[in-house]
Amino acid sequence: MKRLLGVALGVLTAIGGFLDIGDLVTNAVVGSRFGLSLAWVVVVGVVGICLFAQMSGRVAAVSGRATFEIIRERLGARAAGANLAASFAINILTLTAEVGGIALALQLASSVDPRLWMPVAALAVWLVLWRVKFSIMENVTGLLGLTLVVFAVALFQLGPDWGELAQQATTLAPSGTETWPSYWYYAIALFGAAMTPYEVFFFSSGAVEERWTAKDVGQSRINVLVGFPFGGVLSIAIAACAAVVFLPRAIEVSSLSQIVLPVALAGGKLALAVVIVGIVAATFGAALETSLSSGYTLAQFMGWSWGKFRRPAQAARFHLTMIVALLVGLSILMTSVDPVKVTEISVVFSAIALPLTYLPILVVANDPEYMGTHVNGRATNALALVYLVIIVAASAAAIPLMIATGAGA
Amino acid sequence: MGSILRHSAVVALALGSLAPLGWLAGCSVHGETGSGATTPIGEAVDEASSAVASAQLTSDLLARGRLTTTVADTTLRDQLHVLQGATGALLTVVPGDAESVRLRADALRAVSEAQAGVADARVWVRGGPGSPASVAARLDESGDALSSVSDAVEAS
Repeated sequence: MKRLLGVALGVLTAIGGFLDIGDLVTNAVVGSRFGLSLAWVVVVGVVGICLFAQMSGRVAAVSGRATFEIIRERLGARAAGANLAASFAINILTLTAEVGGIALALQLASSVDPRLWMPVAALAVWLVLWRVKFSIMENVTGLLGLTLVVFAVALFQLGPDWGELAQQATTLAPSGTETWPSYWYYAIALFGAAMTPYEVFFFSSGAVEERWTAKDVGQSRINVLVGFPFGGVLSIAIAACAAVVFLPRAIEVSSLSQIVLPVALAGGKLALAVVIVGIVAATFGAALETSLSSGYTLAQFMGWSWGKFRRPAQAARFHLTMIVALLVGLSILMTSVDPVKVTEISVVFSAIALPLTYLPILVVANDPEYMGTHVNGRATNALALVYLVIIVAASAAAIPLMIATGAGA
Repeated sequence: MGSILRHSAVVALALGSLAPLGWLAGCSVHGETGSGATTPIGEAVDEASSAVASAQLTSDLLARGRLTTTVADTTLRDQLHVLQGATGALLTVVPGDAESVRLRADALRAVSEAQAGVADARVWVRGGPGSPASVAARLDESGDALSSVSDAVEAS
């Protein structure tokens, strides 16, 4: 019974923890401009993140070591250093977007200017990182993030023309005045949002934090294979709400305040309160994860003592890295940059850096020296190779498309 | 395999270092001349129309008791920023012919009207003068004016 509860909690946390500011903004923007014609990208992204997250979880559980420790050992200091620089920069950008997202969500509940909320949000993230146990932190934010299921409920209450939505989802082409370059630019943004690299670093380091062993591989697989797809369904529900409410009115989503309007239209003030709680939880949880990922990657590369299972005094440089990452993110936000723009840029930059994260994981997961008998099977490798091609193509196409479309304008 | 990994890391890093260039390209100002100037005019008008439609939806939801004042106020303020952006885009366009100059002037007038309409809606949301009907009528007018300009841009 206890084990069953553990699995249920893990799955629910994975669903609630799947969405972050990148998913919220990108899906709403895409839904308002392209309807559901890019929903297939979410499916491709979710299958990809399931594949590589369970792989990195297995590597951590079997070897007892997190991804970045092994990357450095396998690639050598110079190549791993290049990998670290790119991953760390993307992580900081994502962290900036998440802290900005918390502030924007709190503005919706208070009317207080987000720039006043940003330092408060960063301080709250640091306090939780400093004081709260890993499992409590992960479970509370994950479970509260589940309230974003209100998007799916809202979609049903809006009473959409399901045939029209199905037609949009099966028409893999830009609609109306949208162009093919914009279509592919947002396809890459959605893919980057679904396969954000920090999720993998967090997942593998979290496995070490929770002291997984080879016996836990099954549970980790269930968490990923059930939890993430449900998270993907919520992503599509956000896009569908935008497609139903904004697309016919020619409203283009450019702010977080617009994203909650379909929920208010469907469910009134109560649903509105629930969705704001969900957004705060999702962005707060993701801010914790990205802060931790910053600490994990640098500490694992440098060989420092790391982990929340250690007291802060025993992992001082790990905690200092997270504090510096938060301060850098906060400094960027205090320049008055629009957090939604930061989010849009961060998901595309994530897509550019995807090969750096996923290629090494695939190599390590095939290395019997680390994995023993738990190396990838043929089917997993075949699928992973297909994904590597997609990832490299997305990474290579991102910059030309960014230039051609004026960053999706 | 190690060598492939090292080379991939270097290539990906090189690509990553080009990324800011792409980002900067996205920040380029709409400063076009000649007949090509109608494209940024059309884009700015579309942005403004989107902002007005958002304001219409927001005030309608508030009037029906489905939205809190706080969220409505924040949404309208965000839309005012969008309208400011549209105005900025229109002001930096340098039309090259008389037709484009006239279109830009019409667009600026319509966007300015829309700004005033959304600002008035915000006053009503915050408990100032106005009624749901007057706010809706003003926003409808703004939307119609923008729609006319958009049609004219498309026809040009």
